[in-house]
Amino acid sequence: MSPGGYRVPPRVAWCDSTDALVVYVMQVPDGEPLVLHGTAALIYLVALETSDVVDAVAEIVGEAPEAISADVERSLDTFVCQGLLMVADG
Amino acid sequence: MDSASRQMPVAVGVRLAHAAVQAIADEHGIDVLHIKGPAVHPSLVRHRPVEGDSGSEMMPVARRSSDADVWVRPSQASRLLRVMVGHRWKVELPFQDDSTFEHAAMLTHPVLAPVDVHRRFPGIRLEPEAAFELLWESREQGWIAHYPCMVPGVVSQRVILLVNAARGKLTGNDDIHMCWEQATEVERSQVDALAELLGAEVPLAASTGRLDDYRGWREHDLWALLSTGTGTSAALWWARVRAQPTLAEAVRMGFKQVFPSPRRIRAASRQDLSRLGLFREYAHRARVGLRELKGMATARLGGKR
Repeated sequence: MSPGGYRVPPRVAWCDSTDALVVYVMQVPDGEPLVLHGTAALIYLVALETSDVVDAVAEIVGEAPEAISADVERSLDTFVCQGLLMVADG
Repeated sequence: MDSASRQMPVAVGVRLAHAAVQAIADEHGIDVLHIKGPAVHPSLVRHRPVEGDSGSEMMPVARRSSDADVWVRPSQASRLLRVMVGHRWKVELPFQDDSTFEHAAMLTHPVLAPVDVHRRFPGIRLEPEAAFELLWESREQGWIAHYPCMVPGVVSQRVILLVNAARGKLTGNDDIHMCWEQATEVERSQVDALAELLGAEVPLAASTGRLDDYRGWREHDLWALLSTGTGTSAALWWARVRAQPTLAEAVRMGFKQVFPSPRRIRAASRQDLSRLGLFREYAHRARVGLRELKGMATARLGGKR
């Protein structure tokens, strides 16, 4: 369980790359593996670490939070709808 | 967000394959232990300094695997293969067509890395169900692809990796270094004790430089040949036959090596063999095998080594 506002659902497996900002995520055992590149991968990884996803991503990419908040929230909603993330309890 | 089907690195495919098999096993109440590759305990993986760092931080050296290895409770092995087929896996090599040890089946998936499902482990003499239960008792939960997967305990992992290492090149083998050369006396004693319970003393001795202590054991010659990569095919044939515990198994092993299954021939040839091509390959292997055996038998009758 991560300290972030989101966590990985029980039947999801994921790997990240050691040399690029890429995340591979899959609902096991029968989901289609999906690949997240760049900003999408960053948002996914940050969401597992902190509940302040917008602020954390903004700091990493050097943008104002208000400039990216809509895109970040949209990505998080997509991840939840796709079953790749779920809202953490509490 | 894209489909990863065509762009997934092998290492990722292996990890996701492990997770997929665990999910299937959980769904069907099947006991599996994930072994080798990304299942290896971090303390048994070689580490190196992080580049550019002062040297204080170390990171694991990735183990190269092209497939995922899982060890299934033998009594559940057939059922695991059946249910995996129901989840898009295809049995490429069933158990009886795998190596001469007949220990693993190989399954492939449209997207994920192949999986070797072991029902026994080469070098372990203990009856397979009892051997698995012994390792299952000390199992731990590991994480592969951030998914909870059952793995053997650390002592068990040392034994498995060392026994496995005895089948190949010993010099510079990272598993031998991490599991034995770097081990404390207490850890080595634990490994020896477990290997004795499993009936794996001889391959363990082969990988740890103590094979001379087992001269006269029926598996001695086999592991001497495997661990050194020396000897002709015929010498290996004799050694495998002599290593069998009963005459019936010795005869069966002998026949199987000279006349391997067509499926195994196809897999080894890596070509899309036509029926005629398969027959020619089959006949060629049988002629080679029999010629080597004849030469060896002639040499022995003549008193030559």
